[in-house]
Amino acid sequence: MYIYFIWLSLIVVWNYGFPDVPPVADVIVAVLLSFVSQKLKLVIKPSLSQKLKLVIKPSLSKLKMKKSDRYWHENIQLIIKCLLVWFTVSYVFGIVIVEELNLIRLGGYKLGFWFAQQGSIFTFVLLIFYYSNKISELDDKYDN
Amino acid sequence: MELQSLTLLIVGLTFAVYIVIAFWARAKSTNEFYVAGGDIHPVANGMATAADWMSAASFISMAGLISFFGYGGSVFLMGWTGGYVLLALLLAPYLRKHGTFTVPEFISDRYYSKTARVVAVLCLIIASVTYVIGQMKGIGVAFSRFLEVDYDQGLMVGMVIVFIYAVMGGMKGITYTQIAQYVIMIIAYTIPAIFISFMLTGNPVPQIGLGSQLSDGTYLLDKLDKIVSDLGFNEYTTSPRFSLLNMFFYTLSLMIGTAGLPHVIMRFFTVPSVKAARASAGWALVFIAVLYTTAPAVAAMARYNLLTTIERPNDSSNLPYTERPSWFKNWEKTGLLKFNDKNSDGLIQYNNFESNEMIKVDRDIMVLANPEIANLPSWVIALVAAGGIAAALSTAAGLLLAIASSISHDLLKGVFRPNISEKNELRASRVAMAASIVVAGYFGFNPPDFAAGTVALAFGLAASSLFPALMMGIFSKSMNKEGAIAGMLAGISVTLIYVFQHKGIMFVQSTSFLNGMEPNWFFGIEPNAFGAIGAIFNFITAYFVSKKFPAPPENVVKMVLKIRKP
Repeated sequence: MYIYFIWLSLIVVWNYGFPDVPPVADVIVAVLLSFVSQKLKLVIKPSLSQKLKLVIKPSLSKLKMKKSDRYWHENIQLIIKCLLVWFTVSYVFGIVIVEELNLIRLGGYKLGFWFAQQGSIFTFVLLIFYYSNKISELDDKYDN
Repeated sequence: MELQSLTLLIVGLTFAVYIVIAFWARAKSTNEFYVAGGDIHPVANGMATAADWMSAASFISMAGLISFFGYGGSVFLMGWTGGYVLLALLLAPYLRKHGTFTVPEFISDRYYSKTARVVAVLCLIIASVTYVIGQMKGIGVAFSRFLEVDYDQGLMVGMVIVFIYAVMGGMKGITYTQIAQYVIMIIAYTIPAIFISFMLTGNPVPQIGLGSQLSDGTYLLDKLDKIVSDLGFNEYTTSPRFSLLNMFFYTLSLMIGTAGLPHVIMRFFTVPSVKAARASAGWALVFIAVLYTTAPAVAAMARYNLLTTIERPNDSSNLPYTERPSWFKNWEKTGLLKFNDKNSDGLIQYNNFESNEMIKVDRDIMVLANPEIANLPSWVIALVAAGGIAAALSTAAGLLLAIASSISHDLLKGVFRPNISEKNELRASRVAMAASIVVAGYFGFNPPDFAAGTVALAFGLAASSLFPALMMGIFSKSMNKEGAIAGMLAGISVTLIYVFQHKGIMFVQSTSFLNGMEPNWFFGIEPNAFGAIGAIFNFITAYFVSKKFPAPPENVVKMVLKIRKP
């Protein structure tokens, strides 16, 4: 599976670097790059599976973690939660599904437009204060 | 009183205030010079950060760009505010905990390498100088308008003033001066917005006024959509900037650029604690949001007023050139507004068809011209000019300080001349400031884009180089110096090459080998938005390179664990 991504990204880089070459060159390069990807796959795959193991391991042994590690773990969870909101109001509401949201209206505003030019900014402000309160609670909990 | 002398008076008065404050709190030691001794309250620091942050790009240029791009201009609004979330969550508290003066200093500690420090300084200088070029465009526009001279002459005067201003004070002077500047800027920005919003919609709150009805019962935004479409422009509330994908990356680029820009990060070294660093980012965003949520209203209303002035709605007749208002004449003098009577009927046709006669409407003039277009009293117009100049000066000063400290503190003291005396360090930093003003001013005569566009390029450069290195430095224990250095170099080179390909080497248009042409854009992503792609390159390169080299030493891992505890 990975090999397709490797190949695709190499092709993208090629097309971007040499946009004006004739189609036949593109075909030849595509074939050549597939060989290169075979080689690259061998290099990348072991490290990826290692990475996956690392992701699974800490959550299993959460209870065994040291206090400072638990603090950091909870902090990361909190950050991820906040960044999900951050991403949703700006990138999702303001850009990705803006056309669909624009069908809904908020007074004179189209909703998608409102998120892009007003709503996301208000949310950002609230988000920072939310995080800074929550993390202070965590600080107290682990009496840092 | 005559408008010009009134403007001079108000600008002069505000200047006197800044200078008095700067003198009163003049920096005496290097510690005070760089980070004001580290004892500034989060709210005060937030306000100063906001002033520092809101540059000519935000104040003068941004609403003008939104005015013409409509929905597409949202990238600036989201991009330049959302970055604070990243800053507060991912960087500021940890960098404060580590407690260094400058960003390259953190990088050199974390990556146990002087090479990393030199690379970081290089990236910082490239990004900051590009940023100052954007400021210079704004300064040129503001000074040319209020001195009623040509843009180039206005820029020259502006350069001299920035020089005097930045070289005189250090951060302590700047922190308190910037609080004063914030107050003046925000008054100057919101008063005309409140006036205009009230005049058009009867609601004095611009954020609500923008979503309200005009006196004839139609919603302002609907009416604007109709007017612009009739004149052949893109619909205001729905047209994206090139494509939604481009907007996605543009926004991302500005956001991570915000979190990677040294002059903003440096601000969080001036607060007393880690807790204060987080709160400070929040307060900064509150103060920024006041302007940023007003800007869309300013943008839409300015566009509406501009179009209805030229094409009068009562009988939809065009404005005769001889009856043009005084703002039109004044901006013609600066060369930023040009009219050519193609069909010689003496009337002004302004549309997006062949018959358009407004051959040049520089986007950067919109905010400054806005109160004049709306016929507001002349003290309001003068106030806006003063605010614009405050915005440009405060940011230029903050940036110059970041450049100066990176050269004197990071390069000279940190790497090449560790024994330099404090006095000589200060002297070196002032020389560096002067040099960067000259360089930036030189490019300011031929800027690569509108002020906000140029500044966006600077953000892209910071996003692609410094942000990933800082973030990995905190969130990864295994990132080593080889990975970080390779990442920074890869990120900034990819971005620079892409920008130079399309905008010309060193922004000299004729040396661009792929032109600004849209068909040549990578996935249709414009150069200004490419920083996000550069940052992705940075992360990927750093990851793979770091695998090939030994893990960082024990003491660095300990340091990372230490900064993670508040």
